[in-house]
Amino acid sequence: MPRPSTERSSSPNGYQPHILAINNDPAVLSLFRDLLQEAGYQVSTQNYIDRDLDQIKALKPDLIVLDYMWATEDASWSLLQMLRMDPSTVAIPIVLCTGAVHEVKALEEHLVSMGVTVVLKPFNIDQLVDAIRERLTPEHPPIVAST
Amino acid sequence: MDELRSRLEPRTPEQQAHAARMHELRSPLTVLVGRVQLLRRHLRGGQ
Repeated sequence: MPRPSTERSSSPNGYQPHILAINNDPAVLSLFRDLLQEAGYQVSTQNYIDRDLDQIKALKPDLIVLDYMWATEDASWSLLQMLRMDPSTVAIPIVLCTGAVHEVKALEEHLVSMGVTVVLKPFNIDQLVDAIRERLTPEHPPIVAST
Repeated sequence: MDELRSRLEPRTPEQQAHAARMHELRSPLTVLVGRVQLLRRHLRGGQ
């Protein structure tokens, strides 16, 4: 069982939407943290996929940025399903970042129907921030963004 | 859902290896491009 490595950062300047970034690569998490804090969000990071949703439920993120990790494909997919099956997490918008372009494109329609916005790697940082901003605005539907 | 999940599996070991290589390449590339973009943004903001 990996040691939980979730850390949360915030700014004292009023309410900021809370983003949880899940990725097994510390360099990617570090980039997400810097980018999203600069964009005005609170950021929590988690460098492993926990099949137990308790940690996510405790963090109560407004949005989850999930990396679809090829090396841990089953875990990524299981987490996605669990988040959509649990009543307390079903409404949390999910932005899926992935380099598995072919595989995810094959499931594009289904992912959108699950309320998942897909951002394909490598992406422009503005694409990711725009996708997050749009998903935090209720009237915007999920999208698939690619370079 | 499991049926959908099964569609993610590459059909051959070659396809699987290719997809794994693409993932390994795209993540560092994303970090590199993102860091350069952030740096350029900071430099523009500092002028």
